Amino acid sequence: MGFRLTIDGSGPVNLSERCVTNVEFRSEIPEDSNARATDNGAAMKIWGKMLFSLGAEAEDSTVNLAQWSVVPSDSADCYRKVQVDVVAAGQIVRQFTLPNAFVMEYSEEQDDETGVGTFYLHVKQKKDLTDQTTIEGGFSQ
Amino acid sequence: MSLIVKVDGQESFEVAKECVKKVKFQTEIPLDSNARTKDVGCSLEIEGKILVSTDGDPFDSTRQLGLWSMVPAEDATAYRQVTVEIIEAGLVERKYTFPRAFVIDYREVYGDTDGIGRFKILIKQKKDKLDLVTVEGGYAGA
Repeated sequence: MGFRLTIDGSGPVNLSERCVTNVEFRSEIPEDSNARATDNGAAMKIWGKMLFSLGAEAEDSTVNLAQWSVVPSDSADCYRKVQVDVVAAGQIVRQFTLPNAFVMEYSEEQDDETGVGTFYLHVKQKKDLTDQTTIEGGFSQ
Repeated sequence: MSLIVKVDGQESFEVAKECVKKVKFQTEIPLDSNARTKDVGCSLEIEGKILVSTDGDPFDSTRQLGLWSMVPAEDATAYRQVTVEIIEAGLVERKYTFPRAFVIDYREVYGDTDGIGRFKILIKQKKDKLDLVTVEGGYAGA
C-alpha cells in the first residue's frame, strides 16, 4: 500500500510512495454530542521521510511543506488544496481531498546518523467549508 | 549529514558540528482552531553531545548555550539570531533562520560512564515575529 500526497498553491508538493509512510484521516465531532451535530471538522495527519537526492538531481519538495507551515494567516496562500491518494494493487482505494486546508502542526527532524529526515504534517479543512471535503475510492489509477 | 548551529548576537558563537546530533523544526497552532490563526508558534529543538576538551578547548561552544539560557528577560541579549544548516553531500538541504529566538528549555545531563555530556535546547521565535522565520533548502553549499 502506498500513499501519494499532492498540495497545490504557491509551493507545490508532490510526494510519492517512496516518501509518505503513514496517513490518518479523521472526522472530528464533539464527543459529548447527543445527536448529530453540525460542528464537525475534517483533518489529516501525514508522516513521511525527507529523501534528499544526492547532487540535487530531483527537487526536494518537502521544503515547501516547511515554508507553508510558517505562512501567516493574513496571506492568501495559507489555505491550500491537499489531496492524498491511497494506492494498493493498482487501484486507488481512497482519494481524500481537502480543498481549503491549513496547517495545524508541522515538524521535521534530522539527525546525523540516518541521512534522511522525517516530517509530520497535520492539516485541517477550514471548518465552515468542511462539506467540500471529498472521500472517493475504488477506481483504477 | 552535518548539522551546523550558529547563534548571533552580542556574543556570537557556533556549536561545533561534532556536537550536534539532532535538530527538530516545529510549527504549531492551537489544535482547537477552526481556521488559520495568528497564534502560530515556531520552535527548534537541538540535541547533542558535550565533548570534553582535553587539550585547549575546541569544543566548549556548548557552554555558551548554557550561559544564554540563564540570561534574564530584561537583558537585550535574551533574543538572538539562530541559524541552523543541514548539509548533506555538499548540498544545503535546509537552512532555518530564527532572527528573534529565545530559550524555552535547556538541560545538560552527565553520567559517570559516558565521558561526555548531553544537552538539549528548545528555542522559540518571539511569537509576534513569526513572519521573519525563513526556511530555505536545496542549493549547493560552500
